[in-house]
Order: sequence, then structure tokens, then C-alpha cells
Amino acid sequence: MDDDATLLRRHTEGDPDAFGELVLRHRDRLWAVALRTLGDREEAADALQDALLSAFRAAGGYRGDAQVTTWLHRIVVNACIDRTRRRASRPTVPLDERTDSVPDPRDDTATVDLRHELLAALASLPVDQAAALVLVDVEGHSVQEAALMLEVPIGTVKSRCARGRTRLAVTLGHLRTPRNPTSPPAVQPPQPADQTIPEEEAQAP
Amino acid sequence: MTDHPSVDLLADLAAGVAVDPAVAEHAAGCAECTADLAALAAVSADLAALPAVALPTDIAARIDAALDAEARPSAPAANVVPLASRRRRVPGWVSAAAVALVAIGGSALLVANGVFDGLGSPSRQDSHSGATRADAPHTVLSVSGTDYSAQKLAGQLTGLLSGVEAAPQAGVQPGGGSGASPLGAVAPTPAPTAGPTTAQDMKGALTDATHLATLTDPTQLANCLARGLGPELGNPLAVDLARFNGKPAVIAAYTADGPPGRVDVYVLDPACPEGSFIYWARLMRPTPS
Repeated sequence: MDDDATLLRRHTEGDPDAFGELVLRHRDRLWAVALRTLGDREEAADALQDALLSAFRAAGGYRGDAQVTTWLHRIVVNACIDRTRRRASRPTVPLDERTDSVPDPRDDTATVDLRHELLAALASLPVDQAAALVLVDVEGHSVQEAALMLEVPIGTVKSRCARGRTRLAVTLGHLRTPRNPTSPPAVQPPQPADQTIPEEEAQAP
Repeated sequence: MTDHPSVDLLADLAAGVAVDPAVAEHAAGCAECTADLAALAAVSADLAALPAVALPTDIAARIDAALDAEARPSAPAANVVPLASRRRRVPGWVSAAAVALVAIGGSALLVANGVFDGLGSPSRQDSHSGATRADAPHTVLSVSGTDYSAQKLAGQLTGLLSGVEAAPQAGVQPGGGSGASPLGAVAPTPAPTAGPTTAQDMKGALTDATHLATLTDPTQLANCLARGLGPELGNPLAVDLARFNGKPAVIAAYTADGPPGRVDVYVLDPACPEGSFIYWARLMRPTPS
């Protein structure tokens, strides 16, 4: 089986199947990054599509100075940040277009509620903090890997993770004593009714 | 340090950000700060425990279609936009002067003048004078037997739209090949060299798909599309009563908003559930060769 770099090279050489094979290999994790960072199924789908089209076109510019997965993650994260900036100036998605979550029947109600609360809080973070937390805490990448994906210094990743965790801890009421977090209040306004709370994804219709 | 450090400082400490050594010293001997450090660690643990997600099949199909379109020199990138912006605001979707029913597989074209007029549309004169509107002046209905899929849709678009250009002069066209025939392959002969077939005739090709068969009635079809997609989409360019991923489906192509040369293709269940469609993609309209 060809490695990622070979697939990408084959794609740039005109192999019509190579890019699809590369996408198939990584799309679930890239989807998870987009979905968890943006917290909205449609936004995440558009971001992932934008990212993969960018990668398809820009494959010739891949210089091999990072792993292909790192490069793909970087493109997806950038697409998410672009989406968020655009989203800031437009209304939220209508109610009927939110993602319907499909609860895992093995989970009890409390578990599902907590997960929803966590996902909503994650999606309410500033996108740079959300992306850092998704890469490091959710996806389990090292801080070093995340720094390459986010194209920021390692210290910045640590700091963004710290800010994000503080906000989540405050929002979720985990802190024993509600004292000064020094940063602006982490508690966001209540989630609008149409805020998507991505859960295990609904199956295709 | 007598005061408790801020939670941010504790979080920095936990994340490995350089902080004043006094912070670490205080936290080590403070039950309250230790509890907060545990709470921060619990946040990370909760995030790590989130279940893995798989790319949903509908989104995978949509992305595959976009990549497929990107890979085709003749069909530039599919441009999928969010659902919220998909609905066009064309008041009164029924403005057709004529609906050309093209039974491609059944070797006949049927031109049904004004069949959509009964749904509160502007008059036929209005639609004639409105040649620059986004609405298609004619809807080409086909029963091609094509099995559409998201992956192949960009390539199948040519077949879907194959009768669109010729619709104004459409007449009976013997033969006609498959629904995936290239543009121009179903070029109609000048009308009316032979009498048009009836909608009833077209039903013969659809005996295995009850809902689809009812949609050969243009009024039923118009109601179906309005129910599934909303009333504001305007006239479709073409509709194929066909299959999608092997199942009976209504494939409807509309002129897309925005820059010219793009079409929105909607796939609907033939039962026409309210406000529902199976698939959607925005694609570049194939250019005639």
C-alpha cells in the first residue's frame, strides 16, 4: 500500500484515483476536526469540502516538510477558521437545518446530556481555542503536531489549550470555586435553539 | 503567594506554559487549587472521551461529487453552498409556457404546452416575455432509466440536460439513446412531424415505480417539486424520473443563482415528502461541444 506522500505524488502526476484514496484514508478524522471545531454539521461539511478542494488543487505545492496528514489538517483548520469569520457576519442556520443527533442507545440520559453540554461549550469557544483543544484533547495530537497544523508556536498552542480548558471548566461548572479566571467570562450566552450540537452523526437519509 | 492564582494561571501551569514558580508552589499545597487543577484535567479527559465520528455518507457523497467535478476539465469545480442559501427567491415557480416531456428511453418527446399554468402562474405571454428570467421557459421531462449517483452526477448532467436546449422546437424523436447521451444526441426533429405521445404512454415505462408513474402528470410533478423544494425555486430546466443509488428518484435540475452557467441538481423521493430531498449539488452546466 502506498504511503500518503506517494499517493499525493501520484495525484500530482495525474493519477485520477490517488487523491480519492488519500481522502478515504483520512476523511473521518478530518471530519471530526471540522465538526468538533465548528459545532455545526453544514458548516463543517462546507469547510471540509472547501479544504479538500483546496488540497486537491494545491497538492503540487506540498513540499514534504510536514507529514501529509499534518498538511491536510492544516488546510482543514484554516477552512474552519475562514468559515467562522464568515459566520460571524451572518445569521445562524435556521432551525430546520440543524443536525439531529442520534444518541447512542448504550448511553444513559445523563451521559448524553453532559456530552451535549460539552460539545455546545466547545463550539462556543473562540475558534482558535476550539481548534487547539480539538487537535490536542479530542484527537490526541501532541502539542508539537498541533503547532505544525495550526502554524503557530508550541507555546501558543499550550496557551490556547489552557484558555479553552478554563472556559470549558467554568462553563460546565466544574470549578469548585467560581473565582477570577482573569480572562473574559467564559460563560457564553445560552445556546440559541438552532445551535447545532453535533453528536454521533445522523446517517444519510 | 497568599492569594489563590487565577484559574488561567492554573491552566497555564497544567498546560506547561511557563508561569511564576510561586504559582506551582502555592498550588501544590492548596486543596482548592488542586481541585481546580483536577477540574481542568477532567475537561481534557471529557474531551478525549468524545466518541469518534465517521463522515456521514451524504456528506461524503457530496464531497466526492465535488472532487469528481474538479477532476474533470470540462466540468469545473462543483460549488456546494450551505443549505440556507440554496433557496432562490423567484416568486411563482410556475411560469412555463410549455413543458416538453421527453421520453428518451421510450423513444418519444411529448410537448405539453402550458401544463404548469394551472398552478397560479403568470400567463403564457408573461413567460414568453420573461425570457431573461431565471426560470426555465421549458421543462424537459425524461424517463431515461439512468441510475444517478453523487459520484457520477457531474458526468450524468449532460444526459439530464440533453433535451433542454432543443425544447422550444421539440417534437417526436425516434430513438434517442440513453439518458447519459451527450448534448445534442437527442436533437429533436422539427415539430410536429408526428403526434406527441401522451403522458399515459410514458407510464408504461414506470410500472415498477408507482410514485414515479404518477409524476408523469405534469401537475402532479409540479406539486411534488413544490412540496419537496418549496414553491420559490422557479421552473426546473429538466426533470428525469429515474433512479438514484438504485432507487426510484426524481432528478430535477434548476438554473442556479449567482454566476451563470451553474445548475442546482436536486434528488427527491418520488413520494415527495414535504420539505425534503435526498441530495443536492451545484454543478457547472456542461458546455455544448
